[in-house]
Amino acid sequence: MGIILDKISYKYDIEDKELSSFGIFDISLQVESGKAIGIIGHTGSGKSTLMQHLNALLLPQKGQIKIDDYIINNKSKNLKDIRKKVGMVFQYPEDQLFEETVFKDIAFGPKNIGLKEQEIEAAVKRAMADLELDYEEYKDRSPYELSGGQKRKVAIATVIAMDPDVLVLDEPTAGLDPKSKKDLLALLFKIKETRKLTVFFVSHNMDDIYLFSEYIYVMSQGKIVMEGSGLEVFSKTTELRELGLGVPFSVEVLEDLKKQGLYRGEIKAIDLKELAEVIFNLLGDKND
Amino acid sequence: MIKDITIGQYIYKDSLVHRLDPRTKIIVSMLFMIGIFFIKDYYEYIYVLALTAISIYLSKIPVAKILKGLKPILPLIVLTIIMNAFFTSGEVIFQFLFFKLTIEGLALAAFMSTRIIFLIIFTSLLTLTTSPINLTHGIEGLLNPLKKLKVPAHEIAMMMSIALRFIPTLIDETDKIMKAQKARGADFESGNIIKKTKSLIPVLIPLFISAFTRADELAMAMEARGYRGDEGRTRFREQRLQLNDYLILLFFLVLTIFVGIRSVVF
Repeated sequence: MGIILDKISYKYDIEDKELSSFGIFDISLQVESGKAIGIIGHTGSGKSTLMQHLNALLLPQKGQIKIDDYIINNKSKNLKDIRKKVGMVFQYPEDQLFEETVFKDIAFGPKNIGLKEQEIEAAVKRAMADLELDYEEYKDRSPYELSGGQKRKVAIATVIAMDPDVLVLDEPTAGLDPKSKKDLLALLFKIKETRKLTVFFVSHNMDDIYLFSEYIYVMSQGKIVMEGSGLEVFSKTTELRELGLGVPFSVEVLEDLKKQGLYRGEIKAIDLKELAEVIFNLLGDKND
Repeated sequence: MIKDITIGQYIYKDSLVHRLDPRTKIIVSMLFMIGIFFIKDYYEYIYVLALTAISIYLSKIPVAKILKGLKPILPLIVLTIIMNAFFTSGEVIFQFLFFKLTIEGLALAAFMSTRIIFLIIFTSLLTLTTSPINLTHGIEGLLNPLKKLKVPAHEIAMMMSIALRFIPTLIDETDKIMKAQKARGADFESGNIIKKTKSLIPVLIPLFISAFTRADELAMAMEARGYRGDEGRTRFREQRLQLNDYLILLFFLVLTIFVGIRSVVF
């Protein structure tokens, strides 16, 4: 079981014969269930277009997508099942809140996919618990009177409440303060573990991508130009910079140390603890 | 798809018509509208056709583009033809229930629809050759004398240009919110009209909220840049009528008066 994309293409301007127009071209990839996949790429590289195919918001003009037993192609009907299966958190998801109370807003999704009254309540309760929103405290409040971070959590709960198997996160932490950012990401990937979700994670923050993704796809001009584990992708620093992308903080520090002749090892992405160790060792070498 | 809606059909060309002052073009369009109602006979449309053809030629706008502009008003033309053809009394050539097709009706239908088609073609020249921003400037210029009567001319023009500016933004926003609600299982396509209308609530509420937020931010940004309304405001492009403007205005004014007097006298 898993997700298989088979040569899918989508052009925004069909008449355009060249590949210059925005869209995605001939993308094939295969993802096992339960993995966390990182997607990076410059603005306009086709990330969002690709993500919108995963729950059939856009139908591929060519090729097909297979998600477990569901097949999405250009003739797909009955999209509700696919949308229940693949949850999609857009950028600034709090912009889509519209109900009078938090409960009603979170219940919108489950209601649309036809759950019964009791099931809806259970789904809302569970989703709120997952996002660490106290049910009794928040259920009757207006989503508009909440703080930015809490609004974001409510908006994400609306997607989680549909109990998807796959979760697409399009820059879920954009515009939040550093602490809320860190907490929310940790929370999201905890939910991924408890609910055994497959996660597609789009972000411009390379440290987050490195920390949370098991496998990374790099997109440019509508194509996948690089793929691999965080370690593999982030060792190709020159290529990434040519694509206008950054590298994780640790890579940057190691590069700097190397330039100054202090560090002689291999340049690769490591977490901050390891980075501290490297620096500690370097200091030790110097003191000797 | 919602993105296919195009607003403002301005086509940039370097032509005599494009260079005219927007106020001239607005007044000429109005005079044309008045003038065409004084026409009483079919053969007189030849002059209208000539006038329109010359205008189009001078504007360098492709004829196909102009004819395309007729498409949205096709239902109106069809309706006019049906109404006139069946509900005019005269010599009956065909009858179905109380619908009577008459010769006089057919004649009137042809006459009326020709009038509408010319009206649309000529006035569409105005929007095809004038950018929305110039159009609002023109309207402001024409409303200026009314300021003495406390008509907020500048404010009206400013509101119009802001509204025009934000239409594409709001379309993008609508598209985004619709997608987000679709991802939450919302269904905008199926059901009867009541259900369809109801299904738009999850789109409209967020859209209104973001529009108000945007308006607030825009007001703030305008104030931050020293906007105080009309008083003491200078323009990057001053509107000044050129010789061409005067000549064309004079021509159309004389023409309209002539047609008007002729239809009253004869």
